[in-house]
Amino acid sequence: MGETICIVSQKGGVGKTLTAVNLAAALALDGKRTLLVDCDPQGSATSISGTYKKKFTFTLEDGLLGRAPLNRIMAQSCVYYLQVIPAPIGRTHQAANLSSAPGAESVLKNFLMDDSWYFDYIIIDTPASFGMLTLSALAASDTVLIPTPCEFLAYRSLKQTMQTLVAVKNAYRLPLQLAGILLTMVDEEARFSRAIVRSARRRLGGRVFETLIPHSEQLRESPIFERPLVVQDIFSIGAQSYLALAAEIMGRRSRAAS
Amino acid sequence: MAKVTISNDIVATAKKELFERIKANINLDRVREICADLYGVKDMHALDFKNGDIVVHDGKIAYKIEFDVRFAVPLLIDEEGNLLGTEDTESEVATTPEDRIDDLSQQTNDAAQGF
Repeated sequence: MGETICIVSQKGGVGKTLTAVNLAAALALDGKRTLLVDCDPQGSATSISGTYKKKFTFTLEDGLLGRAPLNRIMAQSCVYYLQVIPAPIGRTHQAANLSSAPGAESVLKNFLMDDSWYFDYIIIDTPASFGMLTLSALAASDTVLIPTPCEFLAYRSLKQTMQTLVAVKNAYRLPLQLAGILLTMVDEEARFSRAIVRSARRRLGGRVFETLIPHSEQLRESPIFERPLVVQDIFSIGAQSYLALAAEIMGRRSRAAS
Repeated sequence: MAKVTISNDIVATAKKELFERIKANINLDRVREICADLYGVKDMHALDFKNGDIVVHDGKIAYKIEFDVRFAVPLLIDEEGNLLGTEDTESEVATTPEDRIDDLSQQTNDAAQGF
């Protein structure tokens, strides 16, 4: 069984998309068959995932509305083992208005259940709002990864995100587990940033990933190249941190399996 | 004094019902935050609604709500019984940014117990 990881946060600008894309690419570079699902109607993950095609006949919307199967929607990225389910960039995302009828939250899970395809990891990027798309992403996932920048307001919103996730998990009886809190935009020079890392490690223990994503101009500017940073410049500090995160996630999984 | 209500209990019952409704809608998490901000009380063991009353504040009707708050107050004493001070515990006021961050971390950890 592969693992489906939902990248989620109620706050925007925390590094969700950069994390989804670079983590997916890092796992794929390690030879893991990986699928990146772009659930954010803005389509940012799609645009920086390094797909060869830039215009798509079918998108996630078609999958959710039952108009096309997985294999017709998947797009090959510039990393051999990484496939992408693109968001409908530049089009109205009808799927965002999915019915709130009982069972509607399972629409993405049902779409991804395609026996003819196996993925070691499915990484789902979500919008900042907790709408129907995020709910269906959570229902399709085994674990959630919460990126959190090391700055006060973002760190304060972490508690709220956690409370919302627990409420959703309980309300819909989802077997969702916490993959971990990923501290992003870590500035070793800043007292506040160091204080957050120290406090998170002390109070949240194993709920926080060992890997830290550093504050990096290169990482922040990487979307301009429309490819994951782990492909654009694998030796950069940002790329190395996402490779370390992928290794940590793979290590946890193999330890859990043994 | 002439009575104008049917029963003596009506006003008392209505007042009790009003405060039962207010009590049911109180956000206890917010009250805990207020206790920390205004009174410096953190990590309380229990927070219970005690009673309520209708009062006039600045010429306007207001609802005064009292809470019972229980929290530990550690004191350090030596073998002769002399007070050495207070232990550095979480019951102290969050006075520094580091304390505030630590407080947030603890609250997040509490919220994460649902996983």
